[in-house]
Amino acid sequence: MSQDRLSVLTLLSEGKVTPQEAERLLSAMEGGAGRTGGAPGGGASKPKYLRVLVDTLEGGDGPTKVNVRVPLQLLRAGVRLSSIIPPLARERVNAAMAENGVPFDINALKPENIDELIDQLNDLTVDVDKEHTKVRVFCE
Amino acid sequence: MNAAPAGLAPPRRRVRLWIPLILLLALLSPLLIPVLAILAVVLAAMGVNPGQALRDLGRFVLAARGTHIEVEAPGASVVITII
Repeated sequence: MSQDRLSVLTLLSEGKVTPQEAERLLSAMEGGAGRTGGAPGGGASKPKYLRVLVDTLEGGDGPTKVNVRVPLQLLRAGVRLSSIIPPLARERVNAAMAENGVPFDINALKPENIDELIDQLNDLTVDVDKEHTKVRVFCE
Repeated sequence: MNAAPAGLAPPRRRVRLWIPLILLLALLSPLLIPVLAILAVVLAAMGVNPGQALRDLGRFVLAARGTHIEVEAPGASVVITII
């Protein structure tokens, strides 16, 4: 535990700061550490891969582990590749998506937008925790 | 008989595959060139810019480098890495 964190907790135990103030101080310290590059993966580093980890006992014979790493560059290239989809096929895709309750317009999927989307993936973490199955999706 | 002796785990099928993409493309280039030419004609007939489409296709294939798929199951172990 760092000296600063210990000081805040000491102040809290002595009743010199309220729990809310202590929380704000600790949050500010964590934010400062992230900005100075203290935390790995935080700050300016962009994610390069999409990771999918599955750990399951379903199937009966024993544990099954799946570990998939996909470069995010592949996602970017895939979106660019959508330009070769003929207009008729695009309309069919849109109609099929709408039929399934997803109001999605494939024409709106532009390479310019995908960079913004991928940047947002930095914060993405999906955790599925079932009785015999654990799934984790994240970017690294 | 192929059955494993009692008390022993069944044999595991192990697949380890490292795919050097650039080398593979270089080896397949004699086949790829006529295939790409046909694809360009088909794309042009479909009203798609063949130059841009083939460039995007090439980017997509090359972007697959770094893909890693690993499956560990009781009866099999598969690792596929594209480098």
